[in-house]
Amino acid sequence: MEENPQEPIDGADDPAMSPLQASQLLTDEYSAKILLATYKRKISAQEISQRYGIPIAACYRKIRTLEEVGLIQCVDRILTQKGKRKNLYTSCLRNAYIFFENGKLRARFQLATGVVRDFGGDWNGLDLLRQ
Amino acid sequence: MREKDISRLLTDEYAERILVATQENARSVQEISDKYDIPIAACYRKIHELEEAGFLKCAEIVTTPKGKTMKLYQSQLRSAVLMYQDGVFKVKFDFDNDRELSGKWIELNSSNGS
Repeated sequence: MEENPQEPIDGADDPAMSPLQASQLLTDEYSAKILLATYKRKISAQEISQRYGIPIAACYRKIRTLEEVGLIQCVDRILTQKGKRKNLYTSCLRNAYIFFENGKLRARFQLATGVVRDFGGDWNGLDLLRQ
Repeated sequence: MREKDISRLLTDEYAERILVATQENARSVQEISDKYDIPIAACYRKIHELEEAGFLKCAEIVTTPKGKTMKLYQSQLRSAVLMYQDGVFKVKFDFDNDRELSGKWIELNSSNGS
């Protein structure tokens, strides 16, 4: 497993991803299912694909995208009985918020490590949460 | 339309542009397509989806100088929040008009499948 060397600093805007792209990670059907499947458990791509009805190629592709963004991570590489390596993934996402307000989309991800990643700038959507 | 599809509509690129375009003023499909660079057929399709979901309303029907009628659409959505907490997805919409859906947290699914 490779560690992302340029983890953005706390609360910083990620220039690589627009708030729309960030939110799509959550609203995309397969990505959402993968995030749910890996929540507080270790699970292989094969198992996610079977249990959640995701085509295997799409499943691998989405897992890769989510891994690159840092929302899930490979925590274990086990050896199957056939002698093949199998990656086990777990979700790093604790909380996520997407706001659409005044014609603007903003997203915030809170990771298990405590890192907060915001997309879409000036972030004061907390009042919306309290309602 | 199910809530899950509704929240996906929010993060659809065209749908989002249409909602932004119609936030202040009622606009025609043609105008939205031109100004926000959305292919006209896709624009009509998305607008119908948004109208069905209750995000858009036809605010006015005008007659063009050529004698054609043209519908002007306006966004009904004031704000929307999508939240993922403790392995559960929830959404909340606030609309300009009173709707059953307005201001309520709706749970989408949990980590136990579905």
